[in-house]
Amino acid sequence: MAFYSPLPMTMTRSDASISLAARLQAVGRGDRAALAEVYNSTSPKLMGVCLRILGERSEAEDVLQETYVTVWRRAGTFDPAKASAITWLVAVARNKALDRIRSGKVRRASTPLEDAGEIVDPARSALDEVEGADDRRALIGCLEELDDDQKWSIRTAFFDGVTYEELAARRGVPLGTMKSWVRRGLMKLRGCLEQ
Amino acid sequence: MSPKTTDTPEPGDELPLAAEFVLGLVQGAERDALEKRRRDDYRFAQDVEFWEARLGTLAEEVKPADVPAHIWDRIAEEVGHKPVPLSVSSAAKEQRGGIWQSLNFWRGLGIASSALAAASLVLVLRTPQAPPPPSLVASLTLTDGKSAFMATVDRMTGKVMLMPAIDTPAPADHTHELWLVPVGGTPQSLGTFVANGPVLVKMPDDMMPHAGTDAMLAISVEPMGGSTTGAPTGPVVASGKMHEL
Repeated sequence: MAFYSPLPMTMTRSDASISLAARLQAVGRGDRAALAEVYNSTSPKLMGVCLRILGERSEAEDVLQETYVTVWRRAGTFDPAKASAITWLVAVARNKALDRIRSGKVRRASTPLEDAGEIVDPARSALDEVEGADDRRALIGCLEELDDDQKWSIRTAFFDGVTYEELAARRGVPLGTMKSWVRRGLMKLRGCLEQ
Repeated sequence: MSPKTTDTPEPGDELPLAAEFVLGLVQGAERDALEKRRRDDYRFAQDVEFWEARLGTLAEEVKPADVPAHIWDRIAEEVGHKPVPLSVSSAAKEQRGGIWQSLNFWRGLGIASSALAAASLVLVLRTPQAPPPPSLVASLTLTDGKSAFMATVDRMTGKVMLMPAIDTPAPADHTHELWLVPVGGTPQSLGTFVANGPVLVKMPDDMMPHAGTDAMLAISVEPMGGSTTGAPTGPVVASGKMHEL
């Protein structure tokens, strides 16, 4: 991704990322057309995120709806200096999905979604590649420094939104062991990311 | 936690609670407590943002999934995208009902995958068969440069669609009036309207030749019923040049 200039001089794909952040900020100013644009360019991704966590389409659809209503109300708090637009949106969607689980409305299967397989999306959009590219490179690099158990636990927790208890059950290890893997992994990750 | 390995946190280190919260590793009362702490404790909230920005990039690996069109309808309804009956004078009267009574307009916007609102609007308006004159689009901005309305002009039909981007209510006992300002010409009224939803106006045929690139659309504040002089009498609150798509 070396061709992404931090100061785009021409209409390259970098503009896609700049404008998603700009559009999200416009939503924060009450721009309804901008909400439609943000929805158009990001809802399939957020649907994927919600579906993976909730495991059920109708639940994921409800949460997706709540997500964009929340985006409409809270986009004014989006700060492009702190997060890319897409990670901010993902955070809103994941929180809504986790709240849905908290509310007890969702009864998830206790087994992993095997059909979702290894989640990699081969056809990543330009937007995904540009948005948060530096943060992503740093995260991937730092995750590689963790041992396999730590890495698996943190990635699975992110994608599936599962608790320590569920992670431990899936791996067949005691709860204390799982907490230890994850916490050590997270502390190491933080140290690496802050370097 | 075992204290035997080298990457064990030092005793003084805090547990990575913010990351645990972001990942959703704790549920129930524990999650509620962290949610409360996020609201009350600025440093903790900063930590949460740190992790959201980093871990959130993993979502790049998540496959996008199909979203049914009705989801957008529900969102649009909840955020107040409700179309309103027209209150445009004269020419547009026959356009009442029909598409503006339904959510089709917003459904169209939701479905359109274009990055440009303008492009989305035009997709909804018309997909031309024969090469017609390109539609015109204008972003009408307030005096501070903020975009207040998007407008499209279909030069095949004379339909002008005006969509408020932000709430710009007219002062009490006043209304908004839409004007076409030809290049080098005087403003011509397209009617009065209430700016609380999408508005459709039919441009009179004799005005159509004046609707071209660099002509402007402008919105003035007028007494109820509109300007009686044939020219804007109140302040122009928003204006923008038209461009071909």
